[in-house]
Amino acid sequence: MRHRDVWNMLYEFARDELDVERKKQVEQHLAGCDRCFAELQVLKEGMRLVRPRRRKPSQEHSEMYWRNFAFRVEQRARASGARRPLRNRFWQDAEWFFLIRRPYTIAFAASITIIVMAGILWYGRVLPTLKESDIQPTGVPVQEVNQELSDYFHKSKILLVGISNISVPEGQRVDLTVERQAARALIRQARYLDQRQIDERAQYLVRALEKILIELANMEDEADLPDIEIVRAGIYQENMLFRIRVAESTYKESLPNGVPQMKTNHQ
Amino acid sequence: MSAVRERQLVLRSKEGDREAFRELVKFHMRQVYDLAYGFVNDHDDAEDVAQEVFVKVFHSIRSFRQEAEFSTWLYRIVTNTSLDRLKQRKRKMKRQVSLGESESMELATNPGPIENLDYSVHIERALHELPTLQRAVVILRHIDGLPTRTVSEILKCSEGTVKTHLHRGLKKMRTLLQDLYEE
Ligand SMILES: [Zn+2]
Repeated sequence: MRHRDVWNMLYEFARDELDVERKKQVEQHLAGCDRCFAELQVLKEGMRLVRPRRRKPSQEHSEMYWRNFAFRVEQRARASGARRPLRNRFWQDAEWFFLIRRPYTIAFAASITIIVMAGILWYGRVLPTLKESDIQPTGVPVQEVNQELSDYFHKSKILLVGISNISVPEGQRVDLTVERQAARALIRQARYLDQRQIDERAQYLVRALEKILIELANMEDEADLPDIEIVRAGIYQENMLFRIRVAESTYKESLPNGVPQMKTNHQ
Repeated sequence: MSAVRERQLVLRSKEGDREAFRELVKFHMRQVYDLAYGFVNDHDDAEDVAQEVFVKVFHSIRSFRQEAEFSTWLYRIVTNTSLDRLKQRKRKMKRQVSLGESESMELATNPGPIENLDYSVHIERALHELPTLQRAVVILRHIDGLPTRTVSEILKCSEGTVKTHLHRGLKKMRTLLQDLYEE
């Protein structure tokens, strides 16, 4: 056997992937060839240093994340102009809705009532301001977008703060119907925003936030503590509340005097 | 999943069956993610690449010829998309440095478990020192453990080339990492 042939098999040899016969051939050669033996040691050292991972990166994500993955792919395929829409949008949305909807029994926690009230107040307050504000004579589209972004981050902040503060007595379940509805509304708003011309950082944040909202939207109406912890973990891991606060104030500040702080092509 | 089942799913996906496509995604998503992560070493990018890969598959599955292995075709798309992403990232980093941007919203990369941080950072750095093909071979063959033949099909080169690149790549990685560990 030539050195060259042995070298070609050294990696498989080191991983013990050769068949018995070849393994024997390589062993025989190595016994009498210092050069190839030294080469094997170098290769083994390289293999040892570049260790295959003990834990796969995909294992860093929750089961819920993977359950939603295919759904997110389909959303994106559709958004990127599916050449052949497989079914129309109404049916896809309906399908999603029925997929995640489960029968629920009632077990209200006190905090939920507060969140429901907050939700009602927020809907009552935010929607009118959207109509009144912001359409100034010098108004350019970028302001409109900033208003929408600020509004979107504001609503998301309220929702995520609510989720962070929910207390669930151990072993009990809480009704998240309202939160899930709010999350779905925000996902729609996020998709709409994603198609507008928003700057890269906002887009990045909108997308990161959307992942959390999807997890929330796909929860069962009745959630227990571990379910909620998954969403909370996402919020903490991404430092989401802080980032949303920064973003909300950034886009709010850019509104009143028509001097947007962002780079824009409109001026 | 059996090869027969996969072929059926691919056929049905080609005809526009969404259930079948979904099943293909579910079966391959973790592997695609892990492979993409091997290249981009960042969870946000890995997710984005993995999704982009399946969107590409969705749009182009009709042009996929059944005589090839579906997974090989899929991994080829993963490899290309990941390498594109790395190129984009290089360009973007240059741009950001020149703009002098630093904002809390940019600090979103996810380093993974702390005990692996130093280790994976070193490997990542060393991997980036390798020429593209060598790097791809080290990731696919050594880190992801795909068979030599599959790697050669993914990268469209001979098995001999895969072996040579693997050998050279690991030796170079050894030199680079030894320097780091000895520091
Ligand atoms: Zn020899």
